[in-house]
Amino acid sequence: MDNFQPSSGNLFNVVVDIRSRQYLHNAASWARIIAILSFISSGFALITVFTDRNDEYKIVTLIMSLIVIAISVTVNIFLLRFGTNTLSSLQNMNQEKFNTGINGLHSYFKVIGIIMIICLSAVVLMILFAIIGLGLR
Amino acid sequence: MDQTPQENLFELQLDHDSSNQLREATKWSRFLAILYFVFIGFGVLCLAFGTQAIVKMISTSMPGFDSLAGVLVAIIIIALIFFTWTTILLYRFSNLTREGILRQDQELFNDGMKALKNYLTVYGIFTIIGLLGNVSTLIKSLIS
Repeated sequence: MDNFQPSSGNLFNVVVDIRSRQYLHNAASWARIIAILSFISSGFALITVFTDRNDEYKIVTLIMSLIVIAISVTVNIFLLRFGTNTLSSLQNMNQEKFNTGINGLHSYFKVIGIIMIICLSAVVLMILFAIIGLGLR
Repeated sequence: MDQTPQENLFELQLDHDSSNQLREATKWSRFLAILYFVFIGFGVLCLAFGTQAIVKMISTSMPGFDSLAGVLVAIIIIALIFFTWTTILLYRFSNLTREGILRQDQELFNDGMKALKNYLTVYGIFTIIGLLGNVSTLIKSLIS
């Protein structure tokens, strides 16, 4: 990570003022709601997978669903960390918690980005293998 | 916005650590936003060239329900519009926050936070809709 140095004389010109505090408060509240609802949704999805008796490809569906649920839970843990720590920091003016909250937001976007790269690479590989497979016939 | 020293004493600062973390966050969110724009582009292309196929498929698989194809296409268009709107908000958050930190501009930073708030609000509404979908699937699964 390249370290950023503030450019002007005053060390930190940007602060969490009244306006940004309000926005961050709303954002963190929504982040917490999204994370909690996603956990509930993952729970429902898990129950659905185990109770579904009509599926012919039960094992494949089960494995795929478990992977998706695990990814969803992991991603939303970071979002919950952002929401909880940021809300707490705004109430108590705690710089340490604020930094932990922002770190959660960073991890949230980073994990989604890495998952996207992995998924896209898998799709590209599948297409390549399909083309190679068709060429060998 | 003018700030007195007294105000600054009791305000959370975007210090060295949080600045770097937020800057890294905006890099990843911008990457995601650009990726989503590409997906939207593919979606629009599929819609432009695949609408006829959707109509044909529905009319052959469900004769008498031809109007369903129109409803389906309308739903896809609405979903694409909402997805584009969400992605624009994510892109705005990335750019404005990053610029705000780099230029040490309070106004830009605040606008970035506003975009983040709007992005998470829209995303939250989608999550509620998704949860309702999951509940209905679970109920269907338990009944059958």
